[in-house]
Amino acid sequence: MVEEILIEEKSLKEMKHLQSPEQEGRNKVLFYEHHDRQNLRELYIMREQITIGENMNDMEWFKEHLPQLREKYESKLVAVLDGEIIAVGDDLEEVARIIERKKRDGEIKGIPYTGRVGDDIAAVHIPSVYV
Amino acid sequence: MSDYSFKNNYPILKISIVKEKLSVPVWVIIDTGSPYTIIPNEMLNKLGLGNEDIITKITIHGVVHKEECAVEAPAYLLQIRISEKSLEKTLVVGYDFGSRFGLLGHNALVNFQLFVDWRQKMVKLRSLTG
Repeated sequence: MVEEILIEEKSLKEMKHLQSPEQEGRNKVLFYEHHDRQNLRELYIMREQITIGENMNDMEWFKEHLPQLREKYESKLVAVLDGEIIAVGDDLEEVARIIERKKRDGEIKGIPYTGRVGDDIAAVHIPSVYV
Repeated sequence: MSDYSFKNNYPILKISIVKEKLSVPVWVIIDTGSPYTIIPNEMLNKLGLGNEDIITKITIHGVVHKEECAVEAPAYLLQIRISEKSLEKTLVVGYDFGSRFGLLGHNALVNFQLFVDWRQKMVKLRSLTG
């Protein structure tokens, strides 16, 4: 008999095999298994991802929120720390100086991730290197 | 060997990466195809840089050993000395592309006039701002 299972967050670490490679490493994922009480033959798994800023990999956050970022910051460089946008600019050096000032003033602590909002998130391209 | 040379037909020069009183000499390829200056992490480690010195992490995309790759890399704001000129708080990306050379990119080159004579194997950087 299939029981309805609510898998607690604390047990999620033991269930990495259920995560796709893309999801692996993300901070909080809740899995719910449901079954149809009227028809026990049907069983499906619904995955619900809850993303939070705390402890989340900022690069993953950036990728995850790229559609929303594109609405406002298309082609801009955006720096993210703990799930919050802390600097925006056209040039990486410009963004770096904003981040440095905020660190110096004690506004932020930690290492943010900066990516380009667009189809390709790389902040730096080196088209010519072959050494 | 002077501060300017050629390596496999790449124009290279010796610069210094500076943090406070520490200075590390690095040979860099003058790379007009790179927007930023890139220094091997091994060289940056000699400056004693720690996590607190990393301004941000970025994704860097390029061609390494003929294969395209995208990796996460640390970015710093450091002093660079090129000849007699000192560039303060210049963006430097730490990235190992399998050699002891770095890349001197646009963000540093914009401060100079650049002359390269491949026939004479000669490189000159002339400071634009004195």
